[in-house]
Amino acid sequence: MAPLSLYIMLSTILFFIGLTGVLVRRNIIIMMVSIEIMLNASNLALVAFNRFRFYDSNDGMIFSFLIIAIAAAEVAVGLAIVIAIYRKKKTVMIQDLNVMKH
Amino acid sequence: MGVYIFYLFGTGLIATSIVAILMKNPVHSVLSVVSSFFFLAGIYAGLSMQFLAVIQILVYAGAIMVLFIFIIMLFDLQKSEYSKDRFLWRDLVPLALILITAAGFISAISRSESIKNYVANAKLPSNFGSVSAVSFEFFGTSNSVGRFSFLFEVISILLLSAIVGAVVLAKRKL
Repeated sequence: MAPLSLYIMLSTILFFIGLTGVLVRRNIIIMMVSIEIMLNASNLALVAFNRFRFYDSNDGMIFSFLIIAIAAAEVAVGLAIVIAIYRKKKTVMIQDLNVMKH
Repeated sequence: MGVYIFYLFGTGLIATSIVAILMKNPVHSVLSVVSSFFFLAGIYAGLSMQFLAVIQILVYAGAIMVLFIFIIMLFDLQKSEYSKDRFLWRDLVPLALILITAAGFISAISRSESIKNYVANAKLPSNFGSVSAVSFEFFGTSNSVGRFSFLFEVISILLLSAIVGAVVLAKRKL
């Protein structure tokens, strides 16, 4: 099996890909997809540390389940907000959403 | 053998994730993330987390990402709308900061002795990553409470409030 450092590096790369998506893209849906990528990167790090270092317990896996549940809740509420925005402004691009700016 | 599977799945994971944040059309982006979650489930299975791999495919790829596709189908967006999302020169600032930070993290991880020395240990507990281990932690046995029983109940309340919040937010008129 690959050593732990490769798993943690993969998790880091995945997290920064998701961060790039959040900071550079302007489509709200793609930003939310990038947040999912970041959550999965943290899941991968938790699971890798559980498997390699704390293999006499299952805490990392339990935390991953909780993160998946929280991601489901976050997506439900976030997509409801996106629908509400689209109904009012007819767009999902954040450069058109500047009500709070002015 | 296991190392090659890790490299295969890891390369696929990174490639599909990069494709996901590059696509103009959100449908292509979501489908690419779905395939990246399949690769991630393969990596979980390689780490002897069979139940988490199944849940990753069932819940993440099957439920959460399908919800994304449903929501995208509700929008009536044209191609001209997507093309408003283009790369600007000022985006180079966050990109450069991300590259510098990522390079720092990667070099720190690759030089850390405490992380590098951990390789897979052969003597795992027999129920490692299985359904019985998860149920023991969440629900306990017939005469004891699991360590994470309270957390399980809190998550159920969180999901209930998320359902109520989603219904209220998506209502046409409050």
